[in-house]
Amino acid sequence: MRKLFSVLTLISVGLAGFALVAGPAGAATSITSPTGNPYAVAGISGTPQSFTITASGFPPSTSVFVEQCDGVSPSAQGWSPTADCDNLTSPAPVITTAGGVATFTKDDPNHGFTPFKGAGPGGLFNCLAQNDAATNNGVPDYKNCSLRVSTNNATITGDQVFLNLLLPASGAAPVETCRLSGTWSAKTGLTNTAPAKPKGNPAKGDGTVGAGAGGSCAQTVTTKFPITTGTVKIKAKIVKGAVCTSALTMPTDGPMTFTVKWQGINPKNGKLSTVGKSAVTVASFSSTTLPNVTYTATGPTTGIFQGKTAHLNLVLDQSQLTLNSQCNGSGFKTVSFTGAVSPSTIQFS
Amino acid sequence: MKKLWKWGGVIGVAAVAATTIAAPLASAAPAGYGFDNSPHIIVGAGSDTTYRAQLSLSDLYDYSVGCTTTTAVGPSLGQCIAGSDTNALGNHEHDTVAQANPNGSGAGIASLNGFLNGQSNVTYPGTANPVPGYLGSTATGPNADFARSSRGPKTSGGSVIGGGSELAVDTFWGFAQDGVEVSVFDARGAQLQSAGFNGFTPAQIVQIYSQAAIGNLTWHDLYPSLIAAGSATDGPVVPWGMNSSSGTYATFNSYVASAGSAPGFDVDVHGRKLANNTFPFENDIKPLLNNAPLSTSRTSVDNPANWVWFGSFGVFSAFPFTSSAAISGTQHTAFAAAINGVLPSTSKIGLNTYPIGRTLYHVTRKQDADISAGNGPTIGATHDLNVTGAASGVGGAVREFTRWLCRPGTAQHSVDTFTGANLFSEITSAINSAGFTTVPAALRYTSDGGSRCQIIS
Repeated sequence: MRKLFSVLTLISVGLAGFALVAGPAGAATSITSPTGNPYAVAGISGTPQSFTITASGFPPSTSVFVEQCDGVSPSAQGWSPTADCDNLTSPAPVITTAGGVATFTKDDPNHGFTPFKGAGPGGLFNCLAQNDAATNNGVPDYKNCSLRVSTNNATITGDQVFLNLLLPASGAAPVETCRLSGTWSAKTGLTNTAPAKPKGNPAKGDGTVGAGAGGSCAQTVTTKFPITTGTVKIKAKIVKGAVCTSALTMPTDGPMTFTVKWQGINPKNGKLSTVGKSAVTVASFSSTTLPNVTYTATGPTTGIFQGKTAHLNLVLDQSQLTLNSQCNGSGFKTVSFTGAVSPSTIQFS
Repeated sequence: MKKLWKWGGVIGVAAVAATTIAAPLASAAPAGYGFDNSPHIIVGAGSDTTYRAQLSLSDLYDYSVGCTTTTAVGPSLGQCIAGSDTNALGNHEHDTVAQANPNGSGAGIASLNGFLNGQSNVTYPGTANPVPGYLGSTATGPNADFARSSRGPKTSGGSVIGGGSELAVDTFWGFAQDGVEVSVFDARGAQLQSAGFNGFTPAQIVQIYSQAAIGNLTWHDLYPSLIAAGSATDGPVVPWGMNSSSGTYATFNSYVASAGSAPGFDVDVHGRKLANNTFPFENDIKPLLNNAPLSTSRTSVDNPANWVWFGSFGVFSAFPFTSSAAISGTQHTAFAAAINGVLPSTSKIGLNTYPIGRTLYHVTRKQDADISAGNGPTIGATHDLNVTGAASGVGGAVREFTRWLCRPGTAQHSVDTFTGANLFSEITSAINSAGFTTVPAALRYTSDGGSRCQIIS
């Protein structure tokens, strides 16, 4: 099997994701509050609630806007705030202080920002929680929406800065949600031609969560130590004779599983220590291809978070066109989900 | 020479028959639409506020998918070839939609209707086609084929022959939403958004624009408990007027007159003019800033911190060069003041909860494009918007651009051949790019499958 990327590589790539970083031109803007990558939006019965946003680094006495965007990376070709953000979510602009700080105060009748979940008011895209079903309303679903702060909603700006959002799940709040980064490889590449001698095709993946993935974890239950990071292993055996079209449904011989080794800081010695392990058997697997390939997997959990349902949302770094090219060439073999396009997450609820 | 298909009238056939150049068979035009399979030029005119949005929309339509054309040089060049008769829901006959330079909403509607305003003849520079004879206008030069308007229809005293209701001859298609912001400048912006201030009430706006002499009213007079007389931020309140052909002017006047219980309110009666004795054109603060040497004295009428104006929230937000400029090394910026405590924002404008919200219109002559009850042509399992009107020619081209602009959803639109995105979404994006929002749901036409537009007929 092809050797996988090292964890260090994954971390560095993950940090290059678009959360909390400014746009082009090297602007010094940043979102200083809230923190988290993604930021877990508080909800009441699954309805997102307003929260205060503070951004700095803007010129003084300048109008600054905030709006909700889809899950497409602003560095992706063709990204535009007028297509990938919904200006109907934008409250009145804030005039920056002499120090260049803009504060959108929670629930302020003019400046307060409240994220939406479900269909966007502008009808351009949907923003969903990790456990939401597909909407099938004619516009794309995203489980990795973000907010954008900038000096202009109508065009790309050098000062634009983003915060990835994790929208609240319907029903009970998730017990654990973490940023996820990693790769997944099949032993044999899938092509558009059926293999002459079909054989079982094992596939394995490795990843990191939380800080190790360049992000964070949000936790609502008590564990041995608060979880900050961890590692993930994914295993499956792709069915014999699979061709490239299977890459979107991933039929397997036997169950696909993933295990997570959770880690946190032991307050007694200040060192990173194991919190426990979770094991998940995938019960459903699906994918979408536009604008980027996204795998979604869910299944029951044992170990830590036993009885909860795990939700994986893997946004691949590879586009459908890239995968098609591999299928037509040497074969579709390895995918990565480092956050280069948009963050991936793992959630237990 | 091959025998050509006749479609749409004798003129086309006669023109083609006169030539000896071989050409492919002409195609049947899609049934139920205004196409005649020959490209036409149509030009919109009027509003400044909607100019940028309509330029983007025209671009999208102009290159959207259409029939396969004859490419051989000759009389059939550019016409649809035989067999290319399926409407792909774009610009089927490859019309050219253009936008003439803005001269105000009223001027555009007047041009569309051949309204002479006491003159013997009028033309609108940059347009291409004459006013249709049925309107009874004596205008003989080129005029608008459709109008851009940032105000709604006038039901009396309109820019129409006889001065009655514009709706007698026109249909207004609201395709976007904007708000008119009341602007203050520089440090006054943050001051009026700070705690204790609620911006202006309509009554205060009447007060500001009713000064017998500019400067009679002071900021202390407006906010006696918040700005002390003679303090650092006190000074004369200086209201600026605006070109009266502008839809922004009309919208603002109308709001203040009704909300402030001030019938006949007119900002230009007491509003400040430029040094050349004209009112400034809307949506650009630079003529104001360049009007006279600016002052930093708190008591000066040339200190921008004392100024009050109004303009398009969408334009001022999307194009900061119109609302902020450096003069002699100092940056001057217009900021919105709240109306009754409500600041303009795209979210409130989109919900129609900002007090001076306004719909932006594409205006057509009814005989070219109007809305009719019932379903339009069938599209798969659904149907098209039922825009009725001209069956061919320039009027038909206006009809189909209008239908395209107002279709209700992705099922009625084609895909952008350059980006792969559905044009319904790209229309939204073009509207947003100009600083506006889509039309609030509560205002949209909802019969027979609905429309993304507000339609006033």
